[in-house]
Amino acid sequence: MRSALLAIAIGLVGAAFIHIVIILALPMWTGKDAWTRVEALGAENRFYSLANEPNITRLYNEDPHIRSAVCHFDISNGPVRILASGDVPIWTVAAYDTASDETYSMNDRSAIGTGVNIAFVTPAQMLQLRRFMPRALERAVLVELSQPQGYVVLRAIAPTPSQRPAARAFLAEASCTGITIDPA
Amino acid sequence: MFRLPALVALTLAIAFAGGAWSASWMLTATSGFGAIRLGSWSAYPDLQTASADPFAKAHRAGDGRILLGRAEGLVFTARSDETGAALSGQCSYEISGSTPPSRFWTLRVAEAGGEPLDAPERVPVSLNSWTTLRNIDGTFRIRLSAAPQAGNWIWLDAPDTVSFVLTLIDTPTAASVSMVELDMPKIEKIGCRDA
Repeated sequence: MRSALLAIAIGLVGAAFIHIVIILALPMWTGKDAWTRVEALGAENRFYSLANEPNITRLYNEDPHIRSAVCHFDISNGPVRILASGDVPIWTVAAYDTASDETYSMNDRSAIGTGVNIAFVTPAQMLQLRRFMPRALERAVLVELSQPQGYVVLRAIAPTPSQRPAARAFLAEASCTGITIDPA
Repeated sequence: MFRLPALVALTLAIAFAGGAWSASWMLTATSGFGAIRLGSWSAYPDLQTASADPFAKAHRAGDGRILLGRAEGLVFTARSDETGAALSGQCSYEISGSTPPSRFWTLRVAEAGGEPLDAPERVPVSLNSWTTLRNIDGTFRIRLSAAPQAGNWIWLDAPDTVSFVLTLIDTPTAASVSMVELDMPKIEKIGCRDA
């Protein structure tokens, strides 16, 4: 009887342990997290505008007034620069790492000028840039990321139907390009 | 003779079955901690960050949505009206009052899981701060029903329960700690059709 109770007690401790392991391991194994879906959109270093209806990519604009475009990147071989400009009332941008944790976000009020001009760099590239800043990056917001892979989401707001073409154009013309910095 | 193997089997059965069952139960019963609740509305300001709790992260990875960043905005969801009754797609509601300060907001109706409703063409399924008509004091009154209404109207006709989603863009709400002092719009049930 005592040993049966002991077996149950050990079983409960084991259950608690397995519970914790399942909860902690789940984000890595769902196969339908945001990073997996973003990566499945296509090649890196270009923006993909999301559709407004649920579709096979499983990524879409849930809000009809907020349009978004996603670009995934890998900055281990050089920074990635995000550029966008256009006549939209509000834009926002957010970057996430492969675990879909937010690494950076901003909106048009906190930008220098009116357009998006952000460069994502690794800490090592940041040191290089401190020594020699290329002209192209002088006005860019430099964001240091600890993990080289991630994705960036650009959102444009279109409150009225007449503003939708401008929002679409803003996202379609946005660029997410890898740049090289000279090892000075 | 088979006592020890039986006890070991019992231990393992309790551990695996109990662990798996409790994990799946926790994930269906909660959507993570750290929610802010204001009336019927709730939001998860830390859901997209690394400091989200493990349950919220498991949910986030299962949903696979691209969430709003901290500087982008905050999403409030309501699943019940003022009295605590679940929002039904067969009823009509009135949402009135004002939102916390933000540069832009949108209000839309979604299925209980957050997916958009299947709406016929050319009916309004969402409103935003630019297109909503206001009273003189800046408050608004939005009717949600199957039949069109004068003033602000959002189409609502669904067989199951629904949720209302209020997205605040560029709002200090996400950063403010004293969330409880904020005004959120009230959700009142006007009436239901007999199903």
